[in-house]
Amino acid sequence: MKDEFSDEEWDDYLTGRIASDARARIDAHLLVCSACWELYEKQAPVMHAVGDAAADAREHLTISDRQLRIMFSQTLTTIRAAEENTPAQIRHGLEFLNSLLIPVFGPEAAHRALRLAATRSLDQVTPESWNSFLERLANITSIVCGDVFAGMIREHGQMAPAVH
Amino acid sequence: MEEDKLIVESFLLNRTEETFFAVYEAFCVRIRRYFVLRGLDVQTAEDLTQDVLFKVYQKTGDLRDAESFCGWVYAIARNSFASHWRSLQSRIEGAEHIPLTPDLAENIQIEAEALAKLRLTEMLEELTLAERDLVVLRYVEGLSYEDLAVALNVPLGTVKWRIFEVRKKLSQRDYETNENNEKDGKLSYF
Repeated sequence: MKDEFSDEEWDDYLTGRIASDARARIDAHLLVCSACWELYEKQAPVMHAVGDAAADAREHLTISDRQLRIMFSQTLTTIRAAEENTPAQIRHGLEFLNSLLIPVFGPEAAHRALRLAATRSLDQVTPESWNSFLERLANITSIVCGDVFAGMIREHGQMAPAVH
Repeated sequence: MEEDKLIVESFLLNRTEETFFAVYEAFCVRIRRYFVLRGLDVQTAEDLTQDVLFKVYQKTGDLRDAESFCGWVYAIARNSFASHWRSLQSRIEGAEHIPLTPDLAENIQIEAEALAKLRLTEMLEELTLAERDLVVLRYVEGLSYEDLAVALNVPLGTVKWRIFEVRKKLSQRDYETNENNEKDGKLSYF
């Protein structure tokens, strides 16, 4: 069974939501494999019923477009309130450090370095924790790129808008 | 699913109100439904859904890979669900009284009626909480095995094994029902 189709395809087959090419492969396999045929006979009826019941749940548990927009608007309000609580100078400082790191680290590793230096989340960097954050970031960059670049991060980080 | 991928890629590339709305539109109903099927009332399900999508917006920088986005969103949802139950449990232990307002009573009643009509509810009753979680994520929400591994924070092999076991359990139940019905001369409810 494993050579001809995956576990996931078999599961999709049992619930009746498989793509046609994989269906044909499994159909052909069931013609010649009595063990799989036995399993199919045992599990397919109930799994088809589960698939139908799941489709039924998807159909019934929906929300109106109006309700969706109300929820979206409420979420946006929460997002804006949270952004207002993050001082602009911190955001600018993080963006500035990110712009220094990207040419050396690449965008993904730059983001990871900032996150690791922030310990938990970038949202939790505050003016009070800025210096310790910067020191952790300098330590990370020192290991990856050496002391010269780390010194630059330390120096420019101090001069970043976040500290003013 | 392909459409979801484009929406997610666009959002990860450029986090604006428009791209976030597209993500919101794609996931809001699913996350709300997941919470309702896990037994929450409508109001709580909607509150937690908003909380999940707020976290998605805030923490999206943590995730650069569009491929694992769906599993990641459900991982956040599962964590929110667990936190909710922990806080509810501590409130119950603290014997805090929650007054049943007419609005709350109406919501509970409407959702209870809606859930009672779903065939899936009957099937889920036979399962453990972890198995219900798996069935909802796999068969209602349609998560792939890889998405499930991200959402449940387990290796792919564990996902395969758990699905195998839950299928066996569901089939066993059906088999017993068929046998009983055959004895009674009735047709199976499946």
